[in-house]
Amino acid sequence: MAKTAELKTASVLAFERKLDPSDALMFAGHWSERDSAAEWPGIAIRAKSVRGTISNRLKAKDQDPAKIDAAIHNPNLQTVDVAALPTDADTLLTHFTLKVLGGAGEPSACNSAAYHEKLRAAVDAYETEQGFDELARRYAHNLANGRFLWRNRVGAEAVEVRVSHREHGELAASWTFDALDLSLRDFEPAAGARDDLAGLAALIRQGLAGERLVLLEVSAFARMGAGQEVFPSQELILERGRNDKSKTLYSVNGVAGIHSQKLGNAIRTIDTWYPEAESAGIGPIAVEPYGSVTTRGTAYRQPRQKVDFYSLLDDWLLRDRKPAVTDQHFVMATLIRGGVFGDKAE
Amino acid sequence: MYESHSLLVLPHVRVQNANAISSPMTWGFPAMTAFVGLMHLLERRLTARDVPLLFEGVGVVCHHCEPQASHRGYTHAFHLTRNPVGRDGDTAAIVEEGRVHLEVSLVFAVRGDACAAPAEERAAIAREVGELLLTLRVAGGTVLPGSFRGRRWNGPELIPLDEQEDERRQQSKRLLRRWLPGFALVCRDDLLHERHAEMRADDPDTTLLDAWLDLSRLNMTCRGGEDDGEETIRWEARRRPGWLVPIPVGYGALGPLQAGGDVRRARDTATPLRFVESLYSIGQWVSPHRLDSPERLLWYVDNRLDEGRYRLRNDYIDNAAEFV
Amino acid sequence: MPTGSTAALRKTIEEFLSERQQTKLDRLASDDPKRARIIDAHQRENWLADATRRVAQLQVVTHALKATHPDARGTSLFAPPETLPAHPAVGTHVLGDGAPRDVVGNAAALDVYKFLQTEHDGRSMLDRALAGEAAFAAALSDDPTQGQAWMEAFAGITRAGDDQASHTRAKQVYWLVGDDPTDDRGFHLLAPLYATSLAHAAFRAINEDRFSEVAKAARTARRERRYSAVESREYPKLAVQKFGGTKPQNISQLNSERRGGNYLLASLPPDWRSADVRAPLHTDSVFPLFGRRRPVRSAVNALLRFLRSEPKPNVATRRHRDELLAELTDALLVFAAELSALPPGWSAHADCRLVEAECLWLDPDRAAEDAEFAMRRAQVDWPREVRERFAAWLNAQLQGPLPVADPERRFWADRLQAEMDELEETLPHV
Repeated sequence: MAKTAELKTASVLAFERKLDPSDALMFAGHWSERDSAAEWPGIAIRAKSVRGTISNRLKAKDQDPAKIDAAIHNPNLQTVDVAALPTDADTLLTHFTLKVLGGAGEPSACNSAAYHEKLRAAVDAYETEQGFDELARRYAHNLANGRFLWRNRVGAEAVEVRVSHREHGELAASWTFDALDLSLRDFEPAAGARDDLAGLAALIRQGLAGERLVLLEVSAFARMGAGQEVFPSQELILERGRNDKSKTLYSVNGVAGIHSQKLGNAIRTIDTWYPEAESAGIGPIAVEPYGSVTTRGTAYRQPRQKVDFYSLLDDWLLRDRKPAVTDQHFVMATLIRGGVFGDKAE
Repeated sequence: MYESHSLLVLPHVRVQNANAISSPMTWGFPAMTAFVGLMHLLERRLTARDVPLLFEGVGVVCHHCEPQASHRGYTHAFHLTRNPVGRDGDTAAIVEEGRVHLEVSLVFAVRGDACAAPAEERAAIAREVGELLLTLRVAGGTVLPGSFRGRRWNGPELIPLDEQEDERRQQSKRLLRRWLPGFALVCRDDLLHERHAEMRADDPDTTLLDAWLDLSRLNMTCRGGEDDGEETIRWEARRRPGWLVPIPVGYGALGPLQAGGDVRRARDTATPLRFVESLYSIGQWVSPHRLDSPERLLWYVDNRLDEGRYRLRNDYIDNAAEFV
Repeated sequence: MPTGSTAALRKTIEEFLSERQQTKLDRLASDDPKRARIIDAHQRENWLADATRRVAQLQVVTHALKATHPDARGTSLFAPPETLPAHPAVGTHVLGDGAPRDVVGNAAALDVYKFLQTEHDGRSMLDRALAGEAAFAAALSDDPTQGQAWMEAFAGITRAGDDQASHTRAKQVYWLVGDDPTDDRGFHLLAPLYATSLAHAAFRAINEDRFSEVAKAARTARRERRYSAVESREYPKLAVQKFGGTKPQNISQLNSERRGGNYLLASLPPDWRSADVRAPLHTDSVFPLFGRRRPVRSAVNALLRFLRSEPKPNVATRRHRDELLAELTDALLVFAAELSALPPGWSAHADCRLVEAECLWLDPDRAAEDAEFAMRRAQVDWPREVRERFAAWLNAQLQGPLPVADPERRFWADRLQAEMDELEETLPHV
């Protein structure tokens, strides 16, 4: 009897990201003048010389006290970048745009028609049974709570996030959130923000479902205090010469910025469905195929537990074992994140 | 050079994190092949939406270009952003990807019924193309909302070119000036071969690679004599006028075309596949007002499949054909 | 017994082996039991039998896949210049016979490649194997069948294998070959491989210009303003891309020789916004400021030199001169664009002493907020005045007796006139 050929993962399989933020730019102004933020000047980055002190573990041959004294007299001078609010401004404005693109789950490259068909059926079923409501709700929450400010959110006295939606160049809707009133640990809306969050989530859902092109403008005001240091993204440069700067901060046209990848990472920090979510005590993690968290050097979705993206996707498509609803959310969120997921070369 | 019917202009497109590594030997500005690929994709997407436009060529005027790289000693190194994490939680191998932020005006030569439509309808079509562009990637980068505006532009435009020669000339001049300030990339195969011939007159073993490197670098020559003192010695750049740069212009086949499905892990199993390498020539950045017509800045596909050549052509120089 | 060239070839082979054997023995104590095994393994027939098995772990290539992404697995190719069409563009085909070859595969088998690179009479063992030289087969073994089989095994090192593959991480581009981009059948998929031989030739040439003794001497002469018959060459904004991280040998042999560094030449457009632009205060004209810019100085010097060199009055001369002049006017337009990107109204500052025409020219957006300024901008013939100031500045730069014959001088004046007409017409649009 003829046996149907076993379905295999497409050897070429890639998805474009569907939540597409721009880089964020940083501006400085006064909290009371938030309404005229369009005129706020950009924050510049400046280089600063710092004197490194000896704190690294010394090799045995360097432990001679005379040598340590000599080393202290020859301090390790380094140049680093810094950015700060000017002394007459107490508020940081971080501004970026976010595109929500339709076609979630539709690959940009897939070289197996059979696999493509199976994938499409699974995505369609997810859309019908679950819809993008839950994912959209969580993404909206991560805009409203200002998670994307990263270190700039810590220690701010007040944070206000304004989100506006433009259509054909016209302002179609806008929302204002008190970011500190919204938790970073869960996705429960604060009572006062319930309606606004629902409105923003509904729009993001429409974008993901491909019902309309959604362009959001996000402005986050963080009241940090005059002259306080702010934290743009740091550049990763592999080759550093001896006299090169040891820390380079990101800027666009001379204005300090946060990389789009960093914003994307914060917005998709919605995974509370990984096995140790309760016990790890770190709240939601960013959606990544292995649940990896760079800052902790840990991957929370291990393949040996079959809870990583590849295992779940293979269960779903190749073995007809539909994952639990929460894992379905995770798989869809990974497809929305995008990436190259083709089968590993043998 | 052929005459275009209409121009579709997407002015001041702001692209973030476009691919700055245009080939295995060049960097700084995305390859023109990326823009030609975008043109074909636009035509496919517009046809699917029942917008009848045929695209014949694309020109790029660069208004701003901010590569994400900086000096490290005597060479430039790329700023990387991705620090991928593997399944063990440790960082995976880093693949160096250069990025660049751009502000470019895209100029497409187009034909089709839409071009003859009344002004209002043309405006609607241009706007639709603009919105479509926002959902696509340009040279791997993200198109920012807030594109399409400049000092002299207020959104995309579909512009029929005048059929009267005199009027057309005036219209061309006006159009070209609307792209100032900026620089358009045009192809200078002629200069590459001219320089090669000059160098071969001195040394018959000179290769086209030598000529290409010669035009890609700054050559400082010493004027004066062995016995001259500091006052009479002059070091000067031996330079050609014009902002010449090395660019990739397409691909050359490394072997026969393979039938669809014969090569494993191809992007699809129906399309024939060929292993290729990049081919290079010399480009020039010219200020648009220097051109006598917008057609001069257009690039389009011009293959020689019998010689396994997949390349782009540009008509900045009329007789470019003799070098292709 | 082998005779003639076969004997000499065999001698070369045995020298290679005995040298290799000695290096290994030198690392061992004189009573190490491993010595006997090493000596046995380096007997010609033994070593060749093993080497012809291990050669399958290597591939000699001119085009490698892996450089495109370290995780990419798939076909790499040996496509030396003579097998490629003579495209009128730069590619691997422009390299001559001596095109550098690369090798990919298991680094532990590299001794086999080293053997194949060994030369006799200026010709490598690999070239002999590829050409199927009978003398080489005979040198490998006294048994003709064995010798032939081994030679063929060595020649196989350039073959990609029948099972061709690309990779999900490798670049693959759709390229239009038909007339209609909406027809899926009108495309080829192009899978670009990294031209490692070509890259290596360029790498060597660039390093020669950067680090050779001759190049260093020329650079020193230039710095010290001494004479040098050799040019000093620079590659502006040369970038280095790293392949293979800390393990460049995992990518390929030549990549390892390049220490993982791949040179990229800059194609950047002229860059004008990166400069730190400040409003031109405390001066009545921007032209001195303009003239101090490096590209402007360089273009003026080139023009001056050219005019003084008494070039033959022909088409090429005129074209060259026109292009130099064009470079200067373009630079002026760019300069103006830069200043007009400043916050509008800077020309109203108390310390701005620019003549009115230059203010009207360089601060165009002030017109939106300043009705008086807008009116003046519409009424005053500032483009004419700016043109005259530019022409005057340029003439001052080129002053002194230019030894140009009268008809040429006339021609130059006409050309300058035409260029200035063009500029005047363009100015209000920038």
